[in-house]
Amino acid sequence: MTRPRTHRMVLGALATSLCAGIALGAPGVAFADSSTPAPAGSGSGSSTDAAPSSPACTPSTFSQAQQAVETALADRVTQLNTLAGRVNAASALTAGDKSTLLSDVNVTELPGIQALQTKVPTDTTCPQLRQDAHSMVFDYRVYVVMTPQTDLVIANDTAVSVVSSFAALEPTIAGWIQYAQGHGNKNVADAQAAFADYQAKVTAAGSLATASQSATLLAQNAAGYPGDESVFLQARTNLSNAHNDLYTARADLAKIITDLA
Amino acid sequence: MQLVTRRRTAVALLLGGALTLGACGAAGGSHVVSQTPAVGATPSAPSAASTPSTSAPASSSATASGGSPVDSQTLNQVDAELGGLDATLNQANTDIDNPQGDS
Repeated sequence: MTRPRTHRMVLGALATSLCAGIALGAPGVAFADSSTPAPAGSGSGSSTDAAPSSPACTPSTFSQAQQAVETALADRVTQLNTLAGRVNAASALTAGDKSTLLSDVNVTELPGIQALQTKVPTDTTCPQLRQDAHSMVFDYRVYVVMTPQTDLVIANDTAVSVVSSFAALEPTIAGWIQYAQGHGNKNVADAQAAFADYQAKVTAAGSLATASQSATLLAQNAAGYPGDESVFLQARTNLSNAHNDLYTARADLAKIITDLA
Repeated sequence: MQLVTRRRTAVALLLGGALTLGACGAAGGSHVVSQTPAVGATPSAPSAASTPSTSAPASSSATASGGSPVDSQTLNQVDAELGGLDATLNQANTDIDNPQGDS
C-alpha cells in the first residue's frame, strides 16, 4: 500500500494545489512541493489531502494550471471508457450489477467529467479553475472509488459464479466415488477425504464471495471517500481468501480424479 | 505343377476367408466391450457435462480406464473458470495497488 499512499499524496497535491493554491494566488509551480502546510479552509475534503503543494494558479501560471486540469479530465474520460468496456465484457456480472455499474459510469461520471471538459477551457480566473478542479476530484473520484468499485464487483460476481460451478460439481463427484465403491477401487477412502475438503473449501469460498458483497461495493460513492477504502480492502481480502479456497478445491478435485481414474 | 498351384490357391482362399471371419468376430467383440456402461450410464454417476459450468458434450468426455465415469475434462473446465477469476482479481489488485490516476 505504499504506492497508493504516494498516489494519494499526489492527489492531495493536485486537489489542494488547485483548490488552495488557486485561491491563495501566490506564485509557484503547480503540483510541485508538498512540504508547505495546507492552509486552513483549503477545501480539502479528505484526510489524504493534508499534504499541500505550492500554489498552482496565479495569473502568470493560469494557462499551465488550466492545461493540467484539461489533461486530468481527459485521462478520466479514458479511464471511465475503459471501465465501461470491462463491465460490458464481464460475462459473470449479474444483470443488475452490470446495469448499476454502467449507470454509474455512463449516466453519472462520464457526463459530469465531460461537462467539466466543456467548462474548463472557458474558465478565465483561478477561482473558476479551482472550483472545477475540486469538482473533478471530489465529486467523481474516478481512480480511487469508481475504478476499484468496478473491478471488485466484477471480481466478486466472477467468484460467486465459480463457487456456484464448483458446488454444482459435487453431485457428479459423489457419483464418481459411489461408482468406485461399487467397483472395488482401493483409493476410495482417499478420494472421499479429498471430496470432504473440496466441499469445505467451496463452502468457505461461498461465504466470502457473496451477492451482498457486490451490493456493499456498489453502495460506495465519491462522497464516501476515504471511508470507502476500507470497504474495498476488505472485499479484496475476502476475494483473495475465496480465490485460495477455490484453488485448494481444485487441487482436491485433481486428487479425486487421480485416485478414481 | 497345375495340381500344386490349385492347392496353393485353395489354401490361400481358405486362409483369406478365415482371416475375414476372424476379423468380423473380433469386431463384434469390440462392439460388445464398447457397450459396457461407462460414462453417464450409471445413474449414480452423472456426467460432469450435466453441470451448468461444463460445455463439452458427454460423448466427448474422456473416460478413465476400467470403465470409471471419472471425467478428466472436468479439471480443464474448472481451470478455465479459475483463469477468469484470476484475471478479474489481478485487475482489481493492480488498480488498487497502482492506480492509473491519483484521485
